[in-house]
Amino acid sequence: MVDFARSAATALRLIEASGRSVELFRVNRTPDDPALPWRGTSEHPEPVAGGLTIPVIMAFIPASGSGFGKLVKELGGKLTVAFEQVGLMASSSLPTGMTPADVEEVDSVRDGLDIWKVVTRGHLQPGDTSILFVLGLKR
Amino acid sequence: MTTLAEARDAVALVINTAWLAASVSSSIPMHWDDVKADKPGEDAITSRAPSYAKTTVRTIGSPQTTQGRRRFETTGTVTVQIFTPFGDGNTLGDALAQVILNALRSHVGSPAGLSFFDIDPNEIGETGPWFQTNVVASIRYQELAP
Repeated sequence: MVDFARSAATALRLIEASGRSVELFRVNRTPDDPALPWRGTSEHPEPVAGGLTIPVIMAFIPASGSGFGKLVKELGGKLTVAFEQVGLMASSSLPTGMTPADVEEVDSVRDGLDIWKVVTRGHLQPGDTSILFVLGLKR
Repeated sequence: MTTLAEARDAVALVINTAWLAASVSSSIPMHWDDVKADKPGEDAITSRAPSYAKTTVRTIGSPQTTQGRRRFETTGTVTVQIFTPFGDGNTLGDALAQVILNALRSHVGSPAGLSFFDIDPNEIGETGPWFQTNVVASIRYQELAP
C-alpha cells in the first residue's frame, strides 16, 4: 500500500526548500453606487479563515512546465482557461485553522508587490490524504 | 435624454430592476460590461458553475435628424448573456430569458424617448459547463446637442 503520508512530507519539504512566503486573500467587490452597479466597483480584501491575509509558503513554476496545466484545464471542461504560472502549496503547510475548503475561497495571491489572480485550483488528494494544492495564477 | 451616460443608465435600470424583482433571477448575479467581476465556475476541480448573466450596451450610430436645432437619433444594441448550468433542458435559461424579454417588451418608453425594438431570444448552446442563452434588442433614443 502506498504511504501517502511520505508523499505529503516530501511535498512539504520540496516546496519549503524552493518556495517563498506569499499571502492568500479574497477580493470582495462592491458597487461604488449600490443603485448603479453597472457604473463600476471597488475592491476590498476580505478575510479568509479568520484572517485578512494568510501567509503560506508557495513554490512557483511556469504553467507549461508543471505537468499540471493541461490536467487542470481538462478538468474545467474547457480549453480557454489560461494562466501564466502555477503555485504549489503543500497541504501540511496550511496555517492552523485553515482547511482545504478555505483554500477554495481564496482568489488572490500577494507575492511581494505582485498580486496574482487564482483562475484554477487543483487539489491532489489520494484517498483521504491531502498532499498538494495546485493554483493556476495570472496577473 | 441628452447624453450617452444617461441612456446607458436608463437601459441598465430597466434590466436591473426586472432582474432583481423576479424571484427566479433575483439571487443570480448580473454582471455588467466594463465592470470587474468574478466569473463563477472558473474553479476547475470542483466544477462549480453557478448561473450568472452579463449585460452589454453598445452604441451603433447617432446621425443628425434635423437641420435646425441639432437633434440626433442614437441607436445601439443591448445584449444580455445568460449562463445556466448545462443539462436542465433549457428550464432555467428559458425562465431567465423570459424575465428580460418581458422587461424590454413591456417598456413603454420614457419621456426621454428610449425605446427597445427587435427584441429576440437566441439560444447559443453549450459553453463550457454552462448553456448560454442571449436576449438581444435594439435601442433607440433622441439626443439634443447642447
